[in-house]
Amino acid sequence: MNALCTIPLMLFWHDVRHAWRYPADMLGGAVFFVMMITLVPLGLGGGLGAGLGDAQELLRLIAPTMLWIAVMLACLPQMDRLFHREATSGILEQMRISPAPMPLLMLAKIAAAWVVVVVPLVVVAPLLGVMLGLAVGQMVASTGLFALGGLGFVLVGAMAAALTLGAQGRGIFNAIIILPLAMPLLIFGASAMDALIAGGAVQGHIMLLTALVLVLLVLAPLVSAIAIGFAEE
Amino acid sequence: MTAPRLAIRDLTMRRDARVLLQNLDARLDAGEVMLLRGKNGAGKTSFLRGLARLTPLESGAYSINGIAPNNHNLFMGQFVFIGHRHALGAHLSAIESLAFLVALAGVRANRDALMQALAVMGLAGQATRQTSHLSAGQQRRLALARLVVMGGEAHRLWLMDEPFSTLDEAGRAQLTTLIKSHLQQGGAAVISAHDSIPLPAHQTLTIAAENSKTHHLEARKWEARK
Repeated sequence: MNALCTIPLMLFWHDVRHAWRYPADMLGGAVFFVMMITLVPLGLGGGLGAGLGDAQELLRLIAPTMLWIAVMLACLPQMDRLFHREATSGILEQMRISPAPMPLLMLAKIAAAWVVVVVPLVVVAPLLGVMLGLAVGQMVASTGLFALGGLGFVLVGAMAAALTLGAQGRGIFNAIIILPLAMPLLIFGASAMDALIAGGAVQGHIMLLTALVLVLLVLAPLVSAIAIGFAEE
Repeated sequence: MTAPRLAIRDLTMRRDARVLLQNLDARLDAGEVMLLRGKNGAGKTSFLRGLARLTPLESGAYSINGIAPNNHNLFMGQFVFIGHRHALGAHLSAIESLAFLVALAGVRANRDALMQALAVMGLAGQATRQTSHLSAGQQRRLALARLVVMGGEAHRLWLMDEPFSTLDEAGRAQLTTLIKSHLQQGGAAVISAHDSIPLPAHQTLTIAAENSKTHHLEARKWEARK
């Protein structure tokens, strides 16, 4: 029964190490995140001349939503490739004939993807929030929210990647699968952050977000394992 | 251990509409080799993948060391599958890739054992090189090195899909030695090849080409000749 824990753990380290060797893959999402948030004030700046009010205030209002959309868009395209390399190299094949159950291996891969994809975003998020006019304290407090929401996005992305593995026109199907699943995460995440900044009751929003992520945490490894079984036949 | 290494009962296998095997009965005992023959596309790979439970089989039953495939945890420890694809992480070094593959199969090996396996396969100097920088033949040797590491696990049935392809003369000799010592320890192997293999096969399973519907299993008892 020892293998049940050691094999997934070893897979986790393998994936993290593999990404670390090729940091361009790992940091691509973070660079995109920075780029997008930097462009928001610049883009708004042009339109704000015509007396729309206080530009700073507007920026602060849309900041949580912008940050969440940017996190989502930085995560999901990277998840698209989650199983691609493994499928072509034959690693996926060897994973399927490992004594460890496939859903556990999927969980290990998802955890590694969270470290590789989400952690860099969580690290730069406070800086970008401050750029949008939010207080440092508020941004540090919402770091946990991003980590949690990011896990949700990674789970959704993994599921979509597994379901579309080997399919023609992967990109389109991916988007169709991801959109309805990622939307609630975005809504609850952004509203939790809104409440946090406004100083309102955050607990309800956080609980909803956590509940969603927990459901996905159970669902995604199982669905991914089954979908890969079908795709690899 | 009285259970045969591989026991197949009434196995029928289909790929798309084509029947690859019909009502196959076969048995492979310790120390035996089954050679899998057939033209390109005949279904050798499908058969091997089917035995490894990577593709579903149509009907019938089989077991490895008496263990049925539905016992996932136990069954997956009964064989090694060496496919066309080497399952190497592109950005990792040779030794890291080997360690990963061995660990994924649930076998513990320390660094010395891994280094020794690389040396046996003639890759001692490549241990820290990135796998994507190795040549096709070297990558194949690296994939085969896990057989050396798992040498202690004699009960495992080796399922090998054209293992001799892309290997040079020395590599073929090395692999032959490996397989022979596995057989001597009581192991068994199913090997697919489209030309002859450099070791005697106890059974030859020929998978029929497009038109004819039957396979052909020829068993030779080499022990009887000795």
